[in-house]
Amino acid sequence: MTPVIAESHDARDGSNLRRRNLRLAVILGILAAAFYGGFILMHWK
Amino acid sequence: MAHAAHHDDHAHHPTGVMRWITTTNNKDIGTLYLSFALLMFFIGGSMAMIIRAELFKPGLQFVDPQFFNSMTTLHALVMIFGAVMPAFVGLANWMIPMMIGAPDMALPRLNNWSFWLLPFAFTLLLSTLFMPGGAPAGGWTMYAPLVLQTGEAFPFLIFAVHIMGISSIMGAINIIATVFNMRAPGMTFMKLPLFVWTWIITAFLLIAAMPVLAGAVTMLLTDKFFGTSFFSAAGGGDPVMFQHIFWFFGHPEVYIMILPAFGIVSAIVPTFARKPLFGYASMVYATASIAFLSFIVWAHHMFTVGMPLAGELFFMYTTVLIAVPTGVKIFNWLATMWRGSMTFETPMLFALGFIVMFTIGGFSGLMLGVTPADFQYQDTYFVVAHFHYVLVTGAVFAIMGATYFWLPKWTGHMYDETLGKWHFWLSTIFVNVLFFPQHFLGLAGMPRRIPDYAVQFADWNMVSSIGGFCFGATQLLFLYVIVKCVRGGAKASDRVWEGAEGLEWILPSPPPYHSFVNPPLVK
Amino acid sequence: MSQARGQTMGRGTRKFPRSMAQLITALLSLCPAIASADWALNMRPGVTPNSQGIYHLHMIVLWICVVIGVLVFGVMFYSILHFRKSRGARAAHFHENTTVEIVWTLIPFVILVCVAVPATRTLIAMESTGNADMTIKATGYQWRWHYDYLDQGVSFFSVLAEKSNEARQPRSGIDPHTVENYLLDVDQPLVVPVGKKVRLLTTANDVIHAWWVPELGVKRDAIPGFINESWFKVETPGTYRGQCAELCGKDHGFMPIVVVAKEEGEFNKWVEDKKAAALAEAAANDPNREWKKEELMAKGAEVYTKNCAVCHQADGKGVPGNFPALAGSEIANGNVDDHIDRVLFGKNQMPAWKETLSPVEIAAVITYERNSFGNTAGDVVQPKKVAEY
Ligand SMILES: [Cu+2]
Repeated sequence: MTPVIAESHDARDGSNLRRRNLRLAVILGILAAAFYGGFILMHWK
Repeated sequence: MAHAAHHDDHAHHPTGVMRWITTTNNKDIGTLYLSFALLMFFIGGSMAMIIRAELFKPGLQFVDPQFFNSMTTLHALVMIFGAVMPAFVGLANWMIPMMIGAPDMALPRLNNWSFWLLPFAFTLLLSTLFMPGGAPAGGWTMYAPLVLQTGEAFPFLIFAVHIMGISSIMGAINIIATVFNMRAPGMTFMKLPLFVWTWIITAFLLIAAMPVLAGAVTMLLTDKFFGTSFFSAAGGGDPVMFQHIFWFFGHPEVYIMILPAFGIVSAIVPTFARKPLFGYASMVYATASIAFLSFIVWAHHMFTVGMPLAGELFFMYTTVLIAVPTGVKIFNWLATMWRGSMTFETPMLFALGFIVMFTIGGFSGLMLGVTPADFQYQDTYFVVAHFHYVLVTGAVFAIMGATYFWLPKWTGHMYDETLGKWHFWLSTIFVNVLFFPQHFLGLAGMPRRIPDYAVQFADWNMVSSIGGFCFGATQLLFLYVIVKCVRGGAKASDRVWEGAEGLEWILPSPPPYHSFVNPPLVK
Repeated sequence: MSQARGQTMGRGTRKFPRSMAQLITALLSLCPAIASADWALNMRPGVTPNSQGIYHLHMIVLWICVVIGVLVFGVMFYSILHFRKSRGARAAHFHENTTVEIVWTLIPFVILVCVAVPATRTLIAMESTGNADMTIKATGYQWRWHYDYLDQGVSFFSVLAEKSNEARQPRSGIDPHTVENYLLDVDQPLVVPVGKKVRLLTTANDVIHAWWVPELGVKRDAIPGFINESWFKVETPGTYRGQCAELCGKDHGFMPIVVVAKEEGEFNKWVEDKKAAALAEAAANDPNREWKKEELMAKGAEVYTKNCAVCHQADGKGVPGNFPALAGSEIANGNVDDHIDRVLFGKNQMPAWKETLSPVEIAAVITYERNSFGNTAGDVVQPKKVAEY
């Protein structure tokens, strides 16, 4: 099932919303992964 | 043109159970989250009933101590990760897109996954009840080295926590992406309803805190099975380090469970006072300060582990400092009510109950923050009373208030107001009978997490247990009111409440399956 | 200057709560049921300078909270009563005021500073462990305490008293009200002299415990591999009871602490008696001599009841799913070395007994387990074998 906003465009400036959403999600995901890995490495002996 | 095509796709979505499994619709997913949270609320609640039954009298009548410890451990994990957090995510799914004028969440497929991970996580966790060696019994805080004595349940506990963490992080990412990218034209950040604001800040807390928890439990896993010794003194590690890492997650987690509640109360109070929220900007700044402070107070959970004096002083000062922004919030709500035109429908009753009882929890929190006094309170029933005031009469009351507030919008029917009020009053009376005496027990010297106690604690424990059973039974009324409202009732108007302000109230009740496909223009 | 201010503040507020507390006590005593000790409402001041310092601080903060609570809830209930639509209230439209926001940010801040000053002072006193008259080391075990008088050379284990232990067994049928000091009594209390500064070192052998006696104002975690310091000076002779305060497994609720404070002369006599008893005990339990089977069986039964029956049960049948049965078990009927290994070093929930029990006790209990509950291994384990294992 295709989500309703899958290919929609930003109502404000017409930019490609889907790409912007994915980009933000990837950045935040990397951030979370970095916290995870960083915390383990910090305590590695 | 593109829009028209999408509408066709959506005219025939799957029906029956496949609709729920494959759905990418924020409202469906919100409903799934809320139903799941309600189920977990009753499962975790049943565990609390077992705990209170055993503590009704001194002596061991019903369960053995190991199972008792499993009950306290699972009760906490189920209520925190299964009931309170998913309930807030469910409310966010339903309300945030409507509040900011968006058609759906930014990442609908991710949204589907973040929900459907939860049933797996809790199946893993609850299956440990039937394992040899029993369910985890080392407390929800999973302190090393005690938790490493868990039997076959251990890896199940760790992976359940991992999956819950992944689910929360995915939910948080989705909320941030939605609010940052999907606001309707004209909806600037400083026009966002406070529920949206508190949720963005919560989402950032989640992204910063949950990976730390995941890291901590991964280290437990490798300590147990792969010969590392992060937390074992014999191998050069440090068991206290686990506590530092755990509470570096755990304290922000506390605010993860209360900030959205602040947002809910900030929506309900102005509606029924028929007056705009007082100090909108200061509410936003106070929320942000609380979130910031939440990262530098973690060691107040560990005053008795033997920190240097300078550390104890630092964490005492930062901890009591949180009282300042929290006070600002309470004063702003009072100023919103001042010279308003108030009515007292069920959501308002829950919001007012929240303000009073959350403040009581805040007072005991302030007392706990004062380090020397904490040496007496630490790990007693005083702490148990404190965090149940904050979490039950705080977070859970806010969730119940939100349910009554938005249920007519979601279902298109008014709930039964008389039963709603009964639910509020019975809950409020019994929750205080349940938790207020626990302050006395803690001050008199009763440690927490014990299945049996000295006879001088018998009287207040019996009172507390009676309160517990009645509070538990009252929640069946809540379930009945919800079911009754979903199945029918008086037709709700679009605005529902006379004083309601915001984009969600200009939509029909119930709102269309896809709302704001064409974004509204805000002011 | 801040010092002077702190002192006045301390003195001023101390009087206020005391008189209020007396008033409340007087009111409560009108109702005998509530005034009895069992319905205790508040923290006790305790018997050490630290516990009393904590108590005063607790009362200061409590009364500050009560006053703020009365004001905040007063304003709230005034609004609820007066600004209701049913009384014809019309809503005003104000929604911000920077001055007000600043005022209600600053006032709480000032109150907090007033709390922080006496709190800092008390904390510094609590952490000053120097110049102690004697040092005792408390080691937490699952689930008992071990005390080591570093200056006197006395050491012993302190476990839950026998009567409490019988009554606390699941469905024991014994009414806890009939047991004196139920769950707060031990076989051998910690004895200290009054008026002496005792430095307490806490550590643990297995998991984290916490040594807590409310009336001494001491709660300190006992952490395996680390040593924590705290101190107390008891001013009145008497018996003070506390419990382990950190979840430490199944019997966390059953490892109490009892401190008996005695005059110095009596304390010294107690030390001498303890030393003499320890010598006699060591002579009777020589691990190097050859022990007879009956001796080991008799001692083993005793050790089993005291330490093992909690989990494996008196009949050796265990609790299915939780604690394995010894009756007919592979370990108890198989290779004797495996059996010794398991008792010495533990596994999962099974504690390691190497540190807690003597070789004689371990040899005795293993011999007992292999020849009871229908087990027919038939062999005798000598203490010497365990000591050399
Ligand atoms: Cu313990």
